[in-house]
Amino acid sequence: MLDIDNITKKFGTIVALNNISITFKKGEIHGLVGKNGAGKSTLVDIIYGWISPTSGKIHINNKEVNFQKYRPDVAQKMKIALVPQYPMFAENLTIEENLFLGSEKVNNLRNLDKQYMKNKTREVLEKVGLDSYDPETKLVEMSIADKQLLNIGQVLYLKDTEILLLDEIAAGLSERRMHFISEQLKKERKKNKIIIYVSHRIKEVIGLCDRITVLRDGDWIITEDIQKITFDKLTGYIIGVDTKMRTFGNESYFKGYETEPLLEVKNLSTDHFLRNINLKLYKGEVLGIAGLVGSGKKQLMEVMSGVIHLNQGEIIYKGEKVFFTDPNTAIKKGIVYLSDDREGDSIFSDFCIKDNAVAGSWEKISNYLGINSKRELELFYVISQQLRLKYGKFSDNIGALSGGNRQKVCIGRLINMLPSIFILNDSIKGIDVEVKYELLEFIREKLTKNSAVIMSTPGIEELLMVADRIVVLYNGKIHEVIPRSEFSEARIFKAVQGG
Amino acid sequence: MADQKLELFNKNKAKRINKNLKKLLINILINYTVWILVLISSIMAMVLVPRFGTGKNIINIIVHMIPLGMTIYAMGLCLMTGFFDLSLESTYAIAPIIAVLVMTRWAPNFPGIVYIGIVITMVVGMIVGLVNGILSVKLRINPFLVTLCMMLILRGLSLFLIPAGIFNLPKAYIFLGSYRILNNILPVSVPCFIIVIIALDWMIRKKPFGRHLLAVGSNERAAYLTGIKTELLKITIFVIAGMLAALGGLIAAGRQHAVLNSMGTGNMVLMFAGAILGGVALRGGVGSIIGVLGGIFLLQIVSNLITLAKVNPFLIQVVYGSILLLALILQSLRSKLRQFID
Repeated sequence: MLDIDNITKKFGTIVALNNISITFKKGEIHGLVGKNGAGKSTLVDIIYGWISPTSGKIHINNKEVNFQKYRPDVAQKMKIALVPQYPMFAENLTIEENLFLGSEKVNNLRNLDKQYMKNKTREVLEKVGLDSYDPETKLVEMSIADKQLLNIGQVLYLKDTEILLLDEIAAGLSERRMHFISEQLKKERKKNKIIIYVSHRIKEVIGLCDRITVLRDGDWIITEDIQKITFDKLTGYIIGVDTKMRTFGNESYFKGYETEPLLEVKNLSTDHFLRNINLKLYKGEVLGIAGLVGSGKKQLMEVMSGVIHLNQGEIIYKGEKVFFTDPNTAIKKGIVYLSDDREGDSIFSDFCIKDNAVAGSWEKISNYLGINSKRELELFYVISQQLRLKYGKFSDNIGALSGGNRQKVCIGRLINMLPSIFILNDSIKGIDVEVKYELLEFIREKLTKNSAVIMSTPGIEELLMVADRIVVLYNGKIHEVIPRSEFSEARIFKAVQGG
Repeated sequence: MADQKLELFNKNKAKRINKNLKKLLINILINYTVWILVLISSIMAMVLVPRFGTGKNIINIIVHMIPLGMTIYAMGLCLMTGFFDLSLESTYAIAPIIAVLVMTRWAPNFPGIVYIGIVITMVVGMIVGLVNGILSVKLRINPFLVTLCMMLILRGLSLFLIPAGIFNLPKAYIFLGSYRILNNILPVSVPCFIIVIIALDWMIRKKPFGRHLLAVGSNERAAYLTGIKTELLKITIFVIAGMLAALGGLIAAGRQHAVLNSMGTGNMVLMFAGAILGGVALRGGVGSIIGVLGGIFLLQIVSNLITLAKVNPFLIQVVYGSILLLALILQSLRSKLRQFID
């Protein structure tokens, strides 16, 4: 039995979990669902000992947990195991070495019992359907989805666990694999284990779990037996009362759908993710892209901006067929892309604010003598005013800015490239609320003046605010294209779930 | 009352000036660490060894540092772009060796062969760079390994081609290394070096190429997404580095009137030392040409000082190592100093 008793967790003034009480019973698969930021991961982290709650108690088998000493290693000793969204393995070691890392089996002479470990590894691989791999395979050669399966196998069959925490494991797995895993989990349930299954994917949760708990904005909403739950009911619980959508004036949204489209994608497919994508984009429009992790939304944006290549189909841009070999060719045509990983993919941490904002436009503002520093400063000042950038000196290192302002610099960099299409992948992720709405307004009002925007956001609400249409991707295909007149959080949420 | 106010005002003003001065000093210390070291070591040298300050000795220092300086610049460019080129010290030997072999043995009677020989030197350097570049960029082999192999191959080739060394080089070929202008005082290699410095500085600070180079060194993925042709850029840097090393070899061969198979052996460590002393970050993305010049100067001053002071020459590596360590300590203190200003 795992008893969560009045747990509250505050980060500063933000309440991540508000007085949550749940009882997890032995021998059940318990689904934990909710939107981004509902508090699912925080709860899992508390159970696993990564973070301590502000108040409240946890009882494991009727024994109270002492949070002063509770850390993941203690949790592991109490037979709690976690499978994280991104499994952490030693990439250069083999499967066998990884599975037994830290708990190597030794024989009577205190040497490694290689034979035993190899056999056991084969057994595990077979059980999770990875028998095509040899135990000697190095981890670098495996895909993320396979590593995740391996992690599940390790936790299920090598470690003696009573409480199993599965955090968003389905994100990278194919349907076939997921089905296989579900069957294994159902078998494990019979061994009196508690399996807590966190997921965005409601259909899977309904198919797998015995009971489901819904969290919303840190509040406990309901814990219900699966028999009493339907897809519609569950989405209702997750979203709650449809809050009033924040919108701009009606006149700021796009109406000219009769004009020639700026960009047209026809029957586009890529190697693993996208299948048969068709869409049109008009000048002045904001096209939202919604989908779960693994639905292919990142791939779609990367294909259109030349980061990855398409396999089949064509992109027609301004009336001519184009093929982008790299971002450079796309940028030259006027399509610019902003990645969702700001620190890894956008920021030059050694450069000053100005250089970060002008990067990529230097060739445009230089002649045979070199870069025209006056024009460079002009470019910087124009975008810093447009975006209301808050900074000390333009020659300060980019690290001096807050996350939101850094993102503004990155968007400014795109503006300086004078594009016709902005592709913004989760570009309001991880920035504070005030700047977020400022940026959304900027995207809606300014970026659509002479160009079109394709964008995704971490949550649905923001997309509802800025988008003219929302393309919903599900399993690499376009599930639905929803026009503004039909916008509501529940509608999009259901479509994203494939319903 | 008024007096008091004036006094307070003056006090505040003094405080402000004091603070600004402090800021300025720390800024100088942060950005020109190596030049401060150059200054200190020169003053020390002049006090300790009076002969150090003579015009003849200074020209001597400069002349000696030019060939190595070229390779330090080559390594500096590579480091700024975010990779190593270990093969530079062998390129430094093989480029003049092949050119001299062509001139003296393989095609001595070809008209104008001496001038072609100079071109060949540069072309060999470029080809080595191109091969390095293609192997490490297009085939994605780690540049460290590619250039390590290249270093061994080229050094072995030099030993095989001229086991004994070739002396008495054609006059035009040694022009750049040993000809002196202005009443036989100023070696012609000095203006040549200055031109290279100006060209490189202009490239790094003023040309888009230079910014792109630092961008690739700072964050290659971001540079790629910003539309910079990272692959082409990296190959170009390999080629430029090879060319600079070959130019260094050409000047060295001219200075010593000979090509030897041991030219440049062990210089790799000095190349790293010079570039890093000059403020180039080992992980790439940071560096300036003027800073690297300071690094080159510092190395040469120290080596000259040790020769003049008749210190056991084996100690020179100890000194190099200590100086490099000092520079690294200062660099790691930078961030703390920065916080101190703000």
